[in-house]
Amino acid sequence: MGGGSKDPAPKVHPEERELAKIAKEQWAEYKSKYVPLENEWMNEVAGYDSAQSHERARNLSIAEFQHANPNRFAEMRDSVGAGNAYKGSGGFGEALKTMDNATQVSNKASLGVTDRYARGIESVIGIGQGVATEGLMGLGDVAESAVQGRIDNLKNRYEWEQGKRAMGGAFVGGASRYGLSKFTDKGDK
Amino acid sequence: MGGSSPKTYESFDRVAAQERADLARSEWDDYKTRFAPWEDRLIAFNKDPGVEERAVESARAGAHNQFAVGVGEYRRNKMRLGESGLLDEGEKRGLALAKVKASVQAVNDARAYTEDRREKITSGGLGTAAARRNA
Repeated sequence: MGGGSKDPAPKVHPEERELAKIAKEQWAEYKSKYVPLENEWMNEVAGYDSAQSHERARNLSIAEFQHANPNRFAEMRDSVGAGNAYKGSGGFGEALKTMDNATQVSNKASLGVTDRYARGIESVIGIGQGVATEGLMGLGDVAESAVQGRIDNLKNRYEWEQGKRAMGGAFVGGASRYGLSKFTDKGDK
Repeated sequence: MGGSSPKTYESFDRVAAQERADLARSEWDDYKTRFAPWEDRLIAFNKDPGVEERAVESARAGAHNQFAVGVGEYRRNKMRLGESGLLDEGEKRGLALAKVKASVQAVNDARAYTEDRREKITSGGLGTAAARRNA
């Protein structure tokens, strides 16, 4: 009897208890402060792929396209403005090119909206994984996703597309001028 | 009676350990409730054939709209000059051809882009994918 139990006695460690208490307080603060923001972000992401979002992006991209290419639209008007010569001036061809460009730009914008939605979902999952592993980390992800997603998917992609089209446009323009000069030469003869 | 062995202690504080375990449970429950459904959503999104169908449909509709707007503007410009607002046969043919070409390109882009996105999601995220595309 005298030996008693061999089980170790419970240990009281004030520092461990204090750390556990702090972790609990941090979790409570996180829930009250950040969870509502995360939920708000989730609601926003859920609406990213809506028909209205696609429509807005399409309209925005067309507005930007017109703003970035005022000469193209002016050219279209000017060439039409050549009166009876509008057919030979290539005004209709210019108009068709503009319609094609506008189609491709707005299409890319719409695809970008779906991208943003997928990235939004990924960012939500990323925040959740941060919750599981790093506690309070994650709000930075929210801001980065909201801003960067918009920039990447609309502006950069739009500019990238514009750059590609500008090169194509320059080529087409050059070729047209070359063809026109040939035509004129023949006419002169 | 005497001579009992020196008292030994556990290597951890039970109360603190229990609090930490409760915390871990609470965090995990939160993840399952709020975040796990988003994982399911991403998986479903990536498998959904409707994503491509909608992109293709949107590309077609976009081509239709842009050409309708463009032709309207062109016709208005002609009429402003006292010309007929109607398109002649050559213009109609040119318009039909250009519209089909633009629509086909938009649809092809939509298909390729959607497939590309699906692969990027599967292989680990769109962030780096977007950076690569825009490089």
